[in-house]
Amino acid sequence: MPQEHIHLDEFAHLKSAFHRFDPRVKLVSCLVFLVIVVSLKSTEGLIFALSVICLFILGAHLPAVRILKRLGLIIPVVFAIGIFLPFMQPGIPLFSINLGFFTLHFTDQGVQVSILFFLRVFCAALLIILVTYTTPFHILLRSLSDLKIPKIFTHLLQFAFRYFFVLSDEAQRMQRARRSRNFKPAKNFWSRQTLSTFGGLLGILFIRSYERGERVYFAMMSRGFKGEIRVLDDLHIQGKDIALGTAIVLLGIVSLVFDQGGFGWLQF
Amino acid sequence: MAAILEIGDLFFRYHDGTPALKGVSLSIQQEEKVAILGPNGAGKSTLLLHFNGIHLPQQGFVRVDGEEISQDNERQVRSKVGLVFQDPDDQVFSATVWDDVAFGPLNMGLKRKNIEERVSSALQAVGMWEYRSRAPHHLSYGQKKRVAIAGVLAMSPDIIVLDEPAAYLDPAGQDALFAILDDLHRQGRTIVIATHDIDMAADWATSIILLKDGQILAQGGTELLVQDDLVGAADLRFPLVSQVFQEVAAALDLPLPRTVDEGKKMLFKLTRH
Repeated sequence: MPQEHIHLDEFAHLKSAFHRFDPRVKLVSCLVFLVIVVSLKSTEGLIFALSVICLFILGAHLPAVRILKRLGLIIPVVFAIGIFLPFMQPGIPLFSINLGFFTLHFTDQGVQVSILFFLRVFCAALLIILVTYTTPFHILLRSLSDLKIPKIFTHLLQFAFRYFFVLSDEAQRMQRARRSRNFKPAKNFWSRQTLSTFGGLLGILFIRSYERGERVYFAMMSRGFKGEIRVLDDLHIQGKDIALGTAIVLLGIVSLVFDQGGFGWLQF
Repeated sequence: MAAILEIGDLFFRYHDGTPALKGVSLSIQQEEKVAILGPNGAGKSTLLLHFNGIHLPQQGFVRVDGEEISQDNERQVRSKVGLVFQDPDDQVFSATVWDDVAFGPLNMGLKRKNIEERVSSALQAVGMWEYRSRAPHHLSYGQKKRVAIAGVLAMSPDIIVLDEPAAYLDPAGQDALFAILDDLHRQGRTIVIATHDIDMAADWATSIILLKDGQILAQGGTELLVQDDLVGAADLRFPLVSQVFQEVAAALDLPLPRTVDEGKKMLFKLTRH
């Protein structure tokens, strides 16, 4: 049997103001917020934005543990970049590493840049998690095409999502059939037999997908497909959607004002 | 009864030159239950793709309701002839069950209210209404199959064509499927299935078409399935029930039973004497 499928819409059917929020207004306002956030240049502004996003996540009843787990996926990458940033900024060295040919300076300014980088990435990632976790995937795609994203992209995503599971099941069955005939990948991936076996698997998978693609197209034509996947439109923007969207954009602007030192009189 | 589907001298050759159909002629009457039987590679699936204009005849003709299928009317034909593919994963592509069943009616350009009615009655007909907001990849094979049938039903075609409908279904799933098909037949629809399940064809069909190597061997009633020469030529075998009674029936000069019910009756007759 196929293994447990990834459940993309696991939290998309919870009930909160953020779930009821019209996805198109949600997308646009969060995009504006995102653009503002990644352009912030001060820790104060970013911390303000981060707290706003965290409040939203709490408000949307999303489970914190799962969000942290999801964040865990990007932490190694972010960390790998972030650790080198302090060496790449000129400034007052906190300590230096002598590598013989040249010396690396771990600078104070570099640490600042690194902190800003971390905060920006976390803000952006959390914001994206917030939007995708509170909107069912197909609604998200429909909103994207409502927002005039070319259909070719949304259709591609839709089919990729739908057939990813079919293909992965197929690959798994082939893998299992191979194992049941005692195939064991050699310790060295570059061994001739292992390589040709995996090559064969990929090739067959490609041909099968191609043939399936043709059958899917025939089946769509059978039901009168004319080059456009039509859906019944039952999304309606209401006053409160506009209000929530405006609030998000305004909060973005407030964090921008923080960033520019506009609240300097508050004495942080 | 009038022929609702008529095919004459149909030829089809794939891109690579392999001939798939070599002069197929057949006619299907209204409200029949037709089983197209043939071994693997006989051209069954290719033939079915001609029924609603997915493949247009390279030579010969296909007439639906007396009208020849051409590039100009292939779209209208597709709402008259509904094609259910063998693998429901090929057919059910939308994000939710409801969206998928609505796909056909939406393409027909119907009004919203009409679409909603069609989708709900199609889903109820196959017993999948409760699953309407599920994603297809979270359904079982049999459930996906039923959604695929609903997707075709929602276009309310006169003819429903199914490619290997019972393949990979468990016995309960097969029973459920044939109950649905018999329901549709009672509502006046013509049902055509392609299969190599002889027992099922003998039990269910009112008309049999034997296909081999892209040619029609014979068309007629289920008595074709117990004709030695035909069955052998089509790489098939007798229905199991017929195999059981073959010698007895020949010895007593009785008609050879083909379905389980006929077999039971014969058994009663034989044991009472």
